Amino acid sequence: MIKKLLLISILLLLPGLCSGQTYLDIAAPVSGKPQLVLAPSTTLSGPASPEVAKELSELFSLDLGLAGLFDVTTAGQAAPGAPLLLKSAYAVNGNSLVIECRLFDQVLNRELTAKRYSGSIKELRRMGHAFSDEVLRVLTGQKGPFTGKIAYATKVSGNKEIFVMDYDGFHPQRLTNNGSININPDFSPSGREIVYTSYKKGNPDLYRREIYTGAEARISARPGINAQGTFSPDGSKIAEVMSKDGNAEIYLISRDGRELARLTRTPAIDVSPAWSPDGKRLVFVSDRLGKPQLFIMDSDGGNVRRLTTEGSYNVTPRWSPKGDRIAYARQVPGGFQIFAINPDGTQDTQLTTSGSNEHPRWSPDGRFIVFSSTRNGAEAIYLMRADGSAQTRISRGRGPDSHPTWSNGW
Amino acid sequence: MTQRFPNRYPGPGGMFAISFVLHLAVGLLMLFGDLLPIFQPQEQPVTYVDMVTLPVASPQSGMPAPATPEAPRTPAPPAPAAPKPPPAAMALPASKPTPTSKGKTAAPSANAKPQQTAPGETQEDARAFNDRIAKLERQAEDRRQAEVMARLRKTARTGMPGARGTQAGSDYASYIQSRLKDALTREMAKETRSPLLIAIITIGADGKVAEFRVTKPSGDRVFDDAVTRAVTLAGRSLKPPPSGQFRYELRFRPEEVTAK
Amino acid sequence: MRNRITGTIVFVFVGALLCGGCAKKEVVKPEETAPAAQAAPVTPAPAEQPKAAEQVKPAPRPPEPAPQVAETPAAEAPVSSEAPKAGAREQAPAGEAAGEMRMDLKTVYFAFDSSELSAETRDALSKNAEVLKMSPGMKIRIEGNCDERGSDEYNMALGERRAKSAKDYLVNLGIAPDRISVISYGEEKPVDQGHDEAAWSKNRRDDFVIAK
Repeated sequence: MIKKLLLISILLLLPGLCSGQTYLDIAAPVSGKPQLVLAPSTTLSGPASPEVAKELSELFSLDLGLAGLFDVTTAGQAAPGAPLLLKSAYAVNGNSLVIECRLFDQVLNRELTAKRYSGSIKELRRMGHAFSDEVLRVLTGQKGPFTGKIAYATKVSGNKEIFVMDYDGFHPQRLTNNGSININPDFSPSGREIVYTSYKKGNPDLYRREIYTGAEARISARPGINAQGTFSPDGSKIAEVMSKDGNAEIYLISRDGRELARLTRTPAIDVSPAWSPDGKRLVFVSDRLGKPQLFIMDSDGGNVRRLTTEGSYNVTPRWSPKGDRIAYARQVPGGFQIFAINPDGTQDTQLTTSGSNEHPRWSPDGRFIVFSSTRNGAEAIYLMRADGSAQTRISRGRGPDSHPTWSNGW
Repeated sequence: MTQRFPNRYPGPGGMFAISFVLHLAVGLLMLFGDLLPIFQPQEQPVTYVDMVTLPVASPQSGMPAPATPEAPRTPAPPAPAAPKPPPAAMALPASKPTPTSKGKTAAPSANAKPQQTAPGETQEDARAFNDRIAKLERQAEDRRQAEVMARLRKTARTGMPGARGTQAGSDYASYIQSRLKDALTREMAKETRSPLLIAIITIGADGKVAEFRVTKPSGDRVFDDAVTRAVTLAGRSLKPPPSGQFRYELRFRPEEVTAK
Repeated sequence: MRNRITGTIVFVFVGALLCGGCAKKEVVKPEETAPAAQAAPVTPAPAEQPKAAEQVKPAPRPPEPAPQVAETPAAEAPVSSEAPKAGAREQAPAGEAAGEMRMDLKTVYFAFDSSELSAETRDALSKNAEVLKMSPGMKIRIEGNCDERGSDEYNMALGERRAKSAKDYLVNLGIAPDRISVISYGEEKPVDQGHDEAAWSKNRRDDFVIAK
């Protein structure tokens, strides 16, 4: 505002006095979004495959539409002057697939990026998502999150098991199969490992598992709770909740489970640790003042301060990978809603309104928040943009599905 | 039956019992020996190769083009820039007649060959397009003039007799401002809340954008690109400055929608 | 002769089942059988269950002994594979050790987001303490549970706090602390799957389970 006033006064006062030194202010209203046109996918060689073309087009529409920066249209309905054009072509040869994708800026008349992907035909969606990631990288400087996977806990014949699916709900795959309670998955920064809590040996213990090899280690099995493991941003440490010293406290352990530090020392419940993107601070939940609220501390346990002051029950915080926001769930009449707040306690904003919504987790680029919601009956996984727009259901099973978490791209 | 081979063959029931016990033993062994088969997804990484970017100048020649709607559709927008012979359609009715410089304005890549593919349709599109633009422009011009008048009245400053194009508040600067604003309105895109980009524009005597130098990017790549596009777009059809070269420092930002 | 064979079958089968049951019990503590009972069969189930089916099917082929043979496995097979019935099975082994005492260990309930012991809760705990005093060898595990409304991460800790407050009370009543272990299931093991206060109030509880 001040800036604006300044500009206006400059414009009003200076003209003519010192020519050439003033700014010409070009302020344009934000009306609509630039168009991104998807040209129909064509074949590079070999027979045309309408299914591939259709799937690609739907996939790009979904990914880039969710990104929210463009008005994505398919060729045919394009208004003239669309600045961005995405072309794709494919070649299907038996079980192998090659895809070529190009993005053009039609105003500047230049090609922004071009990629060729090849692999099995089953990898079609992965290739498409990879190019969506690339489109965002070229246009915004930051790669998209669409090749990331979402791990979640789901009920299978009365037990809770961990599954992994594409960010858009395709290809759910089972990770655990022990007929016990398995919850709170969290990806390592590489996206190829998870830590999770399982009751499979009776006690809630913390396990680290390599997703592809299936190799697994029980890294924390102290008496009492061992839960809510969360990888530090550099992947070297894990923050977790243990109750071996009497009640639930937050500890740091190494990747192989060695205890490095105890961060909280209160008779209260301290749970749900979440790292800041620089790894220097943690936000967590404590009821040291009576009701569960969010607090921030340094990663050595010092310098604790309260973050949330509104609401009487604030839980499951997660720090945005960009560092500028912290998403969390607040209990309101009728359930939970997701809020986001600045790390300095300002701009506390409600993002969801319908049903009960819990467990917000950021996409690796900070553009989206994935969460669980009961808005359509059984708990299911949804995602939305960081500002709460474009809330979309992604899990397709009967559920109930909960505890989503979004990995870095594979 | 059982009587005949009492010692060797324990009968079907017995066989089942034995089989059951054996199965159970193996099952238990697996269970407690942690020998259970574990689900292991296969890793099949997509091997993707960065494409060698061929010297592709225009979107239309990028790939085996989807024949049908492509050709007529895409050429339409950049029409004003196309170095087409009939410049009449592109005249700016609102502005003073300066058709000469129009032909080959900014767009360094103005070799848009495909534009010539469907001249009939394109021309018609272009005419409609130009009419629309002209109308918009006229409106903008009117608005701009009213604005300028108001401002001048407010500051009790009269117009500048003998003003040169290089001076703020002079007609040409406002003209440029208005053209850029219109273009930016069209191309506006941003990712951050309030990006601000500062740049220096130099317009040559022929009305072409001789130089557009960003001195301070906004940090929002999407916005920076939108500005670049807007300048390119506006630069395609500018009147030449009344007095030689025009050089000015510009600030680009999205307009705050409402006071909040 | 045939009778003897069928007898052996039944004997072996029942014996095997018992073995299986006991083996499981060693690995996980009794109440655990609910999840563990499935835990065990889930993966081997493909191996074990078809077998049970085979067992049942061929039995009727020799017509005479069929009725009895078929009945036993038919009744037992689901026990080993189905979760809810695990409780029923569990009572049998429990009967060996603690008998009807187990039945007298009362579940206690809590208010929302609270681990405070109400007067009612304290009465129930006192009765549980008497039961424990009457059978000095008995060890128990207190399982803290929460309703679905709270945050499950926070509830994990709250469940433990509930279990511990009950334990502390029992210890104050003179029960040796080493006879009592605690575990929290957070909101993962509701007894009532409903979504109303009636269900929630049943789920905010401490279960008392005989350990070993």
